[in-house]
Amino acid sequence: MDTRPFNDHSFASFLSEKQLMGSRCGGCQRLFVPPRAMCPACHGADLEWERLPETGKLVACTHMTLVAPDLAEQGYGRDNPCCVGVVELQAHVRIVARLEQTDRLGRLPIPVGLPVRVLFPEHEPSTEKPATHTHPVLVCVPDTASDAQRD
Amino acid sequence: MTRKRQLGRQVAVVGAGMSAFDMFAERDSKDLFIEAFQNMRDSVDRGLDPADIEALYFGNFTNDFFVRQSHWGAILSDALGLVPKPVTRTEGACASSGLAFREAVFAIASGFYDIVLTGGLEEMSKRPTAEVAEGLALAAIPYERHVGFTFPGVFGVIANAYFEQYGAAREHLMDVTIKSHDNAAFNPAAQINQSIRQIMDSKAARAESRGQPRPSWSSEKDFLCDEKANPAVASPIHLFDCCPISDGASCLLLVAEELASKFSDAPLHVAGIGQGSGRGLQAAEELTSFEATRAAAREAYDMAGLGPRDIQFAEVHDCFSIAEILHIEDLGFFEPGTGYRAVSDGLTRLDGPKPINTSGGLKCKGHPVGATGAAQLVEVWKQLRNEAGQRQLPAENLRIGAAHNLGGTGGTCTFTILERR
Repeated sequence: MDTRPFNDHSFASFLSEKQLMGSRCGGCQRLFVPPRAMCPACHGADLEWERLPETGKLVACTHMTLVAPDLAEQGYGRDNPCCVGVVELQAHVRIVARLEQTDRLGRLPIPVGLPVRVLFPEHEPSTEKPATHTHPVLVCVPDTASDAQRD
Repeated sequence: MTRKRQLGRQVAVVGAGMSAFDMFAERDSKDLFIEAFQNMRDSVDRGLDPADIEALYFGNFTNDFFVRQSHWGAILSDALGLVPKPVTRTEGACASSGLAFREAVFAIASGFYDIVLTGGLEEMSKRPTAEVAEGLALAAIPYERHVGFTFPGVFGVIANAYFEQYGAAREHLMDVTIKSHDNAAFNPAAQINQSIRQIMDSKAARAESRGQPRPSWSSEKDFLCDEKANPAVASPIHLFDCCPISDGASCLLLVAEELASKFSDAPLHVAGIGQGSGRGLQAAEELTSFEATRAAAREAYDMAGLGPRDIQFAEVHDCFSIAEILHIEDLGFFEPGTGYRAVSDGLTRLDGPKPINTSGGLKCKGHPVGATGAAQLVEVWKQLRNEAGQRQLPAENLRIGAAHNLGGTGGTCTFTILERR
């Protein structure tokens, strides 16, 4: 069993290893992603790592044309809106994510319930950037495999 | 565990004032708080000797970021001549001064103080818009920030979720905006005190004076659909769905109820005061309702022995047009999923049965975030005392008003019910 602490740092290190990991409470069986070290529902501290599915469905999203300076530096803005949203990985397990490759859907607004899959980063973010830039961002893209199945 | 909560003793509001809300290149938070204080002092019917003030509780979100200055308590204490009296800052994002008001109420209700000053301030305009968005995003939870969410982004997601769940559309957001601007046209203190129609006319006149073709919008909604006049910020949120960037301050004077008549001919009583907390987008049970609002409302209604129907008008935290729709549902004024129709049917207009944001709301009055919660209560004060000028609600039988102040992605909320007895 992995002995990493149940915290954001571990969540990030797992992401860089291409694993989406949450923690499950041994007391009440709730699943948390990002992981929690203490269950906020039953206050139990008996949690275990659990690997999450890398597919989910979009709950809702938005295209931001006004972005904070760090995203502007990455090329997002009026001509290249940044799509962010909430993704449901399984019932009652949701996570905020950046959505990429949405332009290939060729339609707006993006349909709620759109199948998406996690796109893991290819390399670790540079440690030379300021701290706020070093958090690996969970990126999801339309899941073409299930798109094909659905269509 | 959930017994009915009551104040240890009753508290009254006997003065209320705010600074101008705008973008001030040459005025800082201290200057603005002094203006709010002086306006508050002028509103105390029987006068206030500042030496009688025992303590100050004020809200500020993040002047630390906006102007790189923290510790405004000491600055205000000195500026107001309060030294060495205690001054306490509260922070709850955009609900910072809702919290300050509540702590001031508790300070008196506990019996510790009799006369307490409260209020809030924020100075946002010294930074460019993208940096203001970055500063405001400090109130989101870390995951939201890392992904890149701005607050328009948060409310863009919420709006799309609401549209999907209830069948509303962007035109319903426009109804909120048009109503807010209509109210603000009657509020000379509003940062944007023009109706959408007046803005269209002035833009058309400006185009003509420059020798450009006169824009021919057929209606207010036609104007709001014009991507050039009303560009997208975070779909479906557009510029006119967003409150402006503001500098400003607000101030209220609270006293123990037994002292109220020494200060005021028409004091307002704190009938109910509630506060709640909530989770970020990913942990929230639903995207179209704020748990913090529902908890704050429940607490305030229980304390006051009142319900949503008893609230004759309210200022609610319309940082974005969609937010107003959620709040009027969460506060129980309208059933879930029907708020957008209530707005479109005119039920929340000045002449409707449940006027919302008579001041023009954050959208038009302005939203210096740390000043907002207290400034909402300044509007409730003006309405209940028949001092709201052209936007005054029919004063006969106007007795109960409320203010709803929300911070972050629904992380902090206060709901305060004031009553003129």
